[in-house]
Order: sequence, then structure tokens, then C-alpha cells
Amino acid sequence: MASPDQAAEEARREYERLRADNVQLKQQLDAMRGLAFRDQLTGLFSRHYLTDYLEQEIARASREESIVLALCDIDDFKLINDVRGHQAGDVAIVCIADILDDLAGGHPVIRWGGEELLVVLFSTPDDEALRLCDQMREEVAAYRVDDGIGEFSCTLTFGLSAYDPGLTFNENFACVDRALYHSKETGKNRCVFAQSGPTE
Amino acid sequence: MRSDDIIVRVMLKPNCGLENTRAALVVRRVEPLCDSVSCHPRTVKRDPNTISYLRDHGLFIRFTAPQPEQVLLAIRGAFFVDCCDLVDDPDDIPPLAVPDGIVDGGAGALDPLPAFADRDARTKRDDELTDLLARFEETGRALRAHAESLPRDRVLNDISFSHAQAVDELRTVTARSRIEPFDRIASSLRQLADDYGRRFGIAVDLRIAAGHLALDRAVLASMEEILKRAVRSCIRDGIEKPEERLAAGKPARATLGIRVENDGSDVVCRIEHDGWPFNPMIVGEIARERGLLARPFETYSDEELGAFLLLPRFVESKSGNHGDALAEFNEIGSMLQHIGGHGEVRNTERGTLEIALSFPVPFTVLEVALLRTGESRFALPAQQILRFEAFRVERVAPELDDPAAGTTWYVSETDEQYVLLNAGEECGVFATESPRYIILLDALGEKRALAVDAIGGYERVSVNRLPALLDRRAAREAGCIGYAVLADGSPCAVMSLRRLLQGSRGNGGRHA
Repeated sequence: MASPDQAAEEARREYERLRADNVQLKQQLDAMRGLAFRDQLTGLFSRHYLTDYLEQEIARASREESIVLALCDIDDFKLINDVRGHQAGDVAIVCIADILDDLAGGHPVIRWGGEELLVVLFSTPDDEALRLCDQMREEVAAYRVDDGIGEFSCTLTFGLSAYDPGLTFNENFACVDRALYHSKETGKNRCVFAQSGPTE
Repeated sequence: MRSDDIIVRVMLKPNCGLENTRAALVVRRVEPLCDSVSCHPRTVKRDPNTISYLRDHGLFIRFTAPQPEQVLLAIRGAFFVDCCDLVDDPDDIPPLAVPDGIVDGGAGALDPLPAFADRDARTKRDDELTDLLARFEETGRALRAHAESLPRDRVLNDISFSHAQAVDELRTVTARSRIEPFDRIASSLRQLADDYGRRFGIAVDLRIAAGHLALDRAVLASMEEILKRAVRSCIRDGIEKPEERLAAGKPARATLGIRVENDGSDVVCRIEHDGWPFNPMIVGEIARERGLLARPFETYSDEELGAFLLLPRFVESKSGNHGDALAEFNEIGSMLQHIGGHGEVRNTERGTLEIALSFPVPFTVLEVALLRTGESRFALPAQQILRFEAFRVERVAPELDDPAAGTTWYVSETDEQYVLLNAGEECGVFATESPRYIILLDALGEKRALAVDAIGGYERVSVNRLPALLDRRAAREAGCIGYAVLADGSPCAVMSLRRLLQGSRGNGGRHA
């Protein structure tokens, strides 16, 4: 019969093993979730990933760290589709998505709508978020998209907003959407940070 | 292969689609991390024919980098990359077979095959459509003539009217289907500038500002040919070699700019470089020898002499020190005249040479901002707008007023001074009620500000010529370059700051 010390040691080992298994399962779950919630064309996270998983994660993390939502829209995307065809539109989205994903450096990039992409910048101060989005904007504008017929370039307009933990996700999203609208209204191909205080 | 070169084979996820685009993006990801990088097939970005190769064999990337591990990590970080492994023997890389039997072995350059077949088919379709439209118009004219001879037959007149409307719409749709963005030719111009720069030992940066302008593809094709000729001429004959530039106190790299703007019934391409200006004395001398001067040489301005340069056959032979350069200008002028265009050459106040080439166009598509001042609603090309700011009356700077010139200034939030276009009482269509925004503009290298009551956002519009019934001259002097029908169906005048400034100069400083 095992002594009490041996039993305690056995229980501790069992606990450690379960904890390690749990971490591994969680990682696997994250990986599976990552694969399941992907947009087929761009490889970015889909909107379902945001609504089914990331929203809670953002709400939890926003109590401890600063989070910035950055919503961007491809300028004149309809024109690309109309003038060059839908294949060119697809190529453009794929290129832009990849550039954003590359520069986002691990921050999730979500295909929010047709040509709207959302970047969730965890643990990022406002000025750093603005700098990063501006870099994304410049990089996209400089990249020559080639649809097999010829080259063209696209520009992005960004609206940014600091995530307010006192508001719901939808309310926060409305802020960033307003910032994007304002950004579009005042000239496109630019980044505008939502002003704090009363909304316009 | 150098000893520190690394070659990796990148396989993309099966059936991911657009493999060539995704492969090009993998290369883009690693470029900043590498000292040198190349890929096989070389033409992945522009050639969808490489897709089958990429599916079968993968993309091969050769690179040298201070931290190769970081490059491998970046490759594996791309979502559509399935796996990535090192290639030990470059001879194992399968060649890419292209349709005409040429093999891209990876070492030699392989230019993309131009899509002549596609272009020919498109031209044929265009011709068929144009013929069909001409037949419709002919039928319409016959129908209208018949309807006019029977004015009491209201049904016939209604049918004739509907037919005319349908033909109008068909004409517009046909014209729009022929529209292509200027950016289509931008890449080939850049390539050309690089090639000629290398060939003639000239360090040059080509900057193109087209403001997302789109125009008829036939015009674009003519424009491409002429612009290529002009770019070659500028690089070969107009710009000094780096050592000469340094000796002259200029930066070693020259700047060659192409700015494309809508100017009503024309699209104007302004090619500007900071190389040698043209010598008005030489041009004047040639003009005198050819008997082209209508008044004493001394009375000619540099601009007027510059206009001679693009006259076809102005220089008869490539003789003399400047023969080649002048003959090139003549060639460009001849090509331009052939398509109904015109141009001028001038030395700018900035010490640069500007060649302005005007191409006639049926209509162009461009991005405009919709503005309102008082009762007037009009559109301004987005290309001319630097930015918007909220209008602050205290920023209208009376201390900078120059009563002699009648100039009022507006000081922007960044403390830059702009001439306010609509200050004072007599502002015509630009008279405001209670201005809320100030628009900061740039044209002809000059800064102007325009106060407006409202901004209706941006819209891409096709700019049409003004109807013949209007007084086009007065409209032009007021800065109007045409009209557009907006998304909501309403017509709107399209103004141009450049035209406005030119008009005001022609009127001794008055505008609008």
C-alpha cells in the first residue's frame, strides 16, 4: 500500500499531466477553430470567427489591455469589378488580404464583408495602431496587383477606434464604422482615428 | 549558384485557386528579409499559365538573407502555403514549358507573352459593336425624318423618340465598355524608363500621377505609344548622366514625372523632368531660318518658341548638336497631330522642362468631389484636392492681403498659406452662403483654397463635353471642363482648378 507521501506525489503528477493535456487540447482547438473559421478566398478569418469566438475574447481582454479596432475598405472596388471584371476583383482582395495579414504580425484580420476587412489590434496603443494601419495603407497602395491582363493598384481607407470595455462590441463597431465613413467622406486612401467624446 | 544561396520549394494548399497570385505574394513577404531573391517561374505574378506548374511542382524561391530561418518562417506563415522544403540540387528544378516551346530554365529572363490574341479579339468585338451602333443610328435618323414628315402621328413620334433615347443609351454603354484605367499602361512605362535608364546610363525615377483616370482604350493605346516615345526622348536626350548632374549641383537621380489630367474635351499628359531645359535661342534660330517667325524674334516668349518644337517637320534633319533631340520632338508632334492632338514644350519656373501633350477624348472617367457653394452644385477632380479642413473665418488672413493684387489668403491648420479663390463680393458661382469647409487645392504647382457650403462626397463620373447650345467659351473661362450625370441622375458641371487659373490669367486676373 502506498504511503500518503507517495499518493500525494502521484496525485500531483496526475494533475500536471491533465494540465499539460488541457493546454495541448486548447491549442489544438484554437488551431482547428482557426482552420474552420477561415474565408476561402483570402485565407483571413471569417465573420463567424469574430461573432462566435473573438467577440468574447475581445471583451475579456479589453478589461486588461488596450485594443484598437481598425476597419478598412478597398476604395472604388466596384469600379475594379466593373472595369476589369470579377476575377480582377478577387485577385485584388487576395493581394490586399495577404499584405494586411503579413503586416498585422499575428493580430487577427477578419474579412468583415465583401471588400471590408477588420483588424483587431490587441495590446496596441492608439498611436502605434495608427502607424501600423498607415503602413498597411502605404504598402497596399504601392503594390502593383496583376490580374493577368495588366497591372493596377488599389488604395485602402481606414477607420480606427479604441475599444471601450464599457460598450458592447456592436457599439464599439459602430464607432469604428463611423470613423471609416468619415475617412471616406474626407478623401479616401487615409486613416482616421475616431475622436473621443460625443460622436458626430 | 553562390554558396550562400538557399533554394526552397514552396507547395501551396491544393485547390486554393489563384495560385500564381498567391505565389507572388509569398515572394513579396520574403523580399524585405532578403538581400537578394528570385523565383521560378519568374512570371508567376502576371502569368496565370504558371498555375499548373505551381500545382505540380511548386514555387522555387532562391534567396540570400542574413537570417534564413526568418525567411523560412515568413514563408510558412502564409496561410496558403502547405509546405516548404529545401532544394539541394538546382538541376532538380523542372523547367517551365511555355506555349511556343521556349523553356524558362530559371536562369534566363523570360518576358511574358503579350496577349495579342485577346487584344485582337477585343478590337474585333469593338468594331462589330461600333458598326451595329452606326446602323442603329442610321435607322434612327430615317425614322426621325419619317416621323417629322408626319407630325400628327403621335404614336410614330413617340416611337421615334424612344428609339433615339435607346440609341443614346447604347452609345453611352458602348463608350463605357471601351473605358480602361490609365494605370494599365503605367507599368509598361515604368519598365521602359528602367530599361532606357540602364541603357543610356541615366539614373531616373519615374513618377506617374493619373488620379485613377480612365479613358477610351483606343485613345489609351495611342497615348501609350506617344508617351513611350516621349519618355525615351527625355531619358536619352534630355537628362544628364549622374556625374554631370552632381557636377551641376543636382541630385544624381533625375526625376521624370507624368501627370495626367482631364481638361474637358482633352486629356493632357504633362511630362516634366529636371534635366536640361530647351534652348529658346536655338529653336528661335531654326524658326528664323525656316521663315516661320511672323514677327521679330525678340518679341517671342519662351512658351511660343517651345510650341515650335512639336511642329511636325520643324527640324528637317538630325544635324547639329541638338538634332536628335529636336527631331524626336518633331516625331512626337507628328504622332500627336495624326490623332488630332496638340502639345507644347516649356521651361518652367522651377527650372524643369515640361512637355504638355493633349489627346482628344470622347469622354473620360474620373473621380470627383461633389461640392456646393450657395445655389451652385459642381464637381472638382479629386486629383486636384489636397485635403479638406473645417472652415474657420479667423484663418482668412487679412494681414496678408495684398490690395494691389486683390489677393486674400487662407492659412491652413498646418500653417501653410493658400490663395483664397472665393473671397470678397464678386465670386460668381463660387459665392458661399455660410461656408463650412475649406478645400485645399493644388494645380499648376500653385496652392489655392476654396470655401464651400457643403461636400456631397466623392463619385466616379464620366465627364462629357458641354452641349453645343451653351456658351462654351464662357464656361471654359469659368473653369468648367464638361458635365457629368451623377448617380442620382442629376447633371452636374465639372470644374477644373487648372482651367480656372488659366481662364483667370487670360482675363487679366479675374476669374469666374
